[in-house]
Amino acid sequence: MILRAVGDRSTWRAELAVALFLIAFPWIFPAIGGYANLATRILILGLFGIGMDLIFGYTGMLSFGQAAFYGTGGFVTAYLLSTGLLHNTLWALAAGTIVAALCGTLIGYLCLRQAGVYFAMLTLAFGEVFYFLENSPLAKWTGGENGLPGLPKPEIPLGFTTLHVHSNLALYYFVAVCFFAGYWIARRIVRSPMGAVLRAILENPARAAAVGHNVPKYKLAIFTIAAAYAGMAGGLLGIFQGYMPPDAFSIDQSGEIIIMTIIGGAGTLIGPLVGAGLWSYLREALQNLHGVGAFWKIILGLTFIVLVTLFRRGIAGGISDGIGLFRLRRAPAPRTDEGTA
Amino acid sequence: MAAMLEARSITKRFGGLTAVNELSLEVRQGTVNALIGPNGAGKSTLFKMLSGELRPTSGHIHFKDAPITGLNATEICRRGISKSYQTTQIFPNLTVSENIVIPALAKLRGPFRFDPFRRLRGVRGLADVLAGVLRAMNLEERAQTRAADLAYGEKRRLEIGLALATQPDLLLLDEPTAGMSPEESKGTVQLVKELRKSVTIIVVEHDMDVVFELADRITVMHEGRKIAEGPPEEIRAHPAVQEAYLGGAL
Repeated sequence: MILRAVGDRSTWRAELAVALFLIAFPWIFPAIGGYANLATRILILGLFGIGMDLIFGYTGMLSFGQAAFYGTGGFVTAYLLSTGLLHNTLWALAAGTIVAALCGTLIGYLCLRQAGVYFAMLTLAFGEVFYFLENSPLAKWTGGENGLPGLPKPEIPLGFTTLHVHSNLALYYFVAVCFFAGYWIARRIVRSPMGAVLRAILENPARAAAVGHNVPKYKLAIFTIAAAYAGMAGGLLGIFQGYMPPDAFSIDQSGEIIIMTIIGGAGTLIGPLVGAGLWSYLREALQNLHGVGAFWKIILGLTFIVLVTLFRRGIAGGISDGIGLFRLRRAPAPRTDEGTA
Repeated sequence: MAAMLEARSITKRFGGLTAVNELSLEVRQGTVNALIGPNGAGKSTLFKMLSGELRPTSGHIHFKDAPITGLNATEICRRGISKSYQTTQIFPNLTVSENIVIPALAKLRGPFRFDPFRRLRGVRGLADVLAGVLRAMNLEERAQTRAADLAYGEKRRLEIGLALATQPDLLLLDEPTAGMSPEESKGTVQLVKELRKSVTIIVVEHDMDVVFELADRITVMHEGRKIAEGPPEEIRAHPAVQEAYLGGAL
C-alpha cells in the first residue's frame, strides 16, 4: 500500500521496547547506583518532556514557559488532595491536567500571535507571571514560597478494590503506567494526519498555510496538549513527593526541560526521558563523588556541550539513526518556526 | 461561457511604488494563460494577489462567481486556487510522498481537524491523490527520497506537485522552468501539457519558447499595466510588445 511510504505502519516495536524498559528500569538501575525514587523522578521529567517535544521537536515552537503548566497541574492536584476535597488520586491528577491544559489554551492563544523568538519571549514572560501568581496573590491556596505539603499516598479505587500505592517501587510503577499512557498517546498523535501537518509546520509553516492548513489552530491545539503533559507531570511530582514545591514554576525548570529534550533528542518522543535520565543521574552521581562534588555543574555543563556537538539529534536521535527503532523523522536539529518562514 | 477568474482593475501600491496598476484579467476554464513582461512588470505581485499572499490596494477579484478579494492564502487555497512558487517551497526533511500528503490532507480533511488518534490510512482518498500526483509529476521512483536530496529539476516538479495535490481548479505556476536545463525544461513543459487536461492554468514564465508552446492566451505586462493580451500569434506580432519586452528580437 502506497501510504506505507509515508510511515503509516502499525508498528508497536517502540512501544514494546519502552514498556519492557519501564518494567525493568528500577531493577537494573541500582547496578549503576540508581534507586527507585530517582527513577520515578526521571519518568516524571520524561513525561513533562514529551509535551515539550511535541511543540518543539515536532512543530518547531520553542517555549520557555512550560514550567507554568507543570506548576499549575502540580498545585491544582496538590490542593485538591492535601485539602481532602478529592480522595481519588486519579481524579485529582485529571483535574490538574485539565486546568493546566486550559491555561495552555489561554497562554497559547496570547503567545501564538507571534512566531519564533518573539513567541519564545512571550512564553518566558508568562512563565514568570505564573511563578509570581503562585508566590504572592495565590499564596493562600498554594502556600506561597513554602509550597503545599501533606499530600496523602495515592489511593486508586478500582471498583472492586482500592489500590494503596505506598512503597517507593509501587509509586514508581504508578508513574510508569502514566508515562506509558502519555508515550502511547504521543506516538499516536505524531503518526496521525494531524501529526503530519505538525511536521509540515515545523518544516515550512508558510507553505503549510498556503496549501490550506489553518496553522494557528494546529499550533494552539498542540500547545494545549503539551500543557496537559506538563500538568500531568506536575501533578505526579506532588503525589510522588507528598509535597508540591514552588520551584516547579521556576524559569530553571522551563530551561531544564528544554535542555533535557535537546540532549536526549528532540523529535523522538523518548529523547526527553533519555535526557532527563542522564541529567538526573549525572547530577546525583557527581554530587556524591568525592572531590568532585562542588564542581558538578561545570562537569554537567561540559558533558552536555560535548553531547550536543556529537549528536545533532540528541542521544536518542543518534541511537535511532543507528537502529531505526524509534525512527519517525529524519530531521536534523529542529529549529524554531522562524527558520523557513 | 463566463470567466472562471475575473480580476477587475486591481491595483497594488507599496508606499509610492505602484507595482500593479488598474489591471483587469479574465481567465476561462480549461485554458492555459501566460503572464509575461520584463522584470519588475508586476507579474509576481499580481500572482501574490491572486493567491492571497498580498491584499490588493484597490479593485476586486472574483473566482467561480464569488468575491475572493482580501482572503488569505489558506482561504484562497480552500476555494480552489493553488500556487507553485518561483523559489522552491517544499518540506525539505520529509520524503517526496510525505510532502505530497500534506496538501492532500488539507483538501481531504479541511483546514483544521483534531484527529490525533486517526491513522493516515483512515483518510479516505489519500492514497489515490498521492499516487496520482506522483504519477503526474513523474516522481514515482523518488517517492521515498527525502525532498532535500532531490535533484534540482525534481525539486521543481515536487514544487508543482504540492500545488497540484490540493486538487485546485486554478493552478498558478510561477516560473516553473526557472533554473532548469533545456532537457528538464522540456520535460516540465510536457508535464504541464498533461495537467491542462484537468486544471486551468496561469503561468508566469520568462522562457518565450515555453510560453508560446503552452499558452492559449498571453497577457503582457509592463510597469504594472497590461499592455497587450491575446492568442500567441497576435502577441508575437504586436508592436507594443516587441518594443517593451521582446526588444524587437522576434
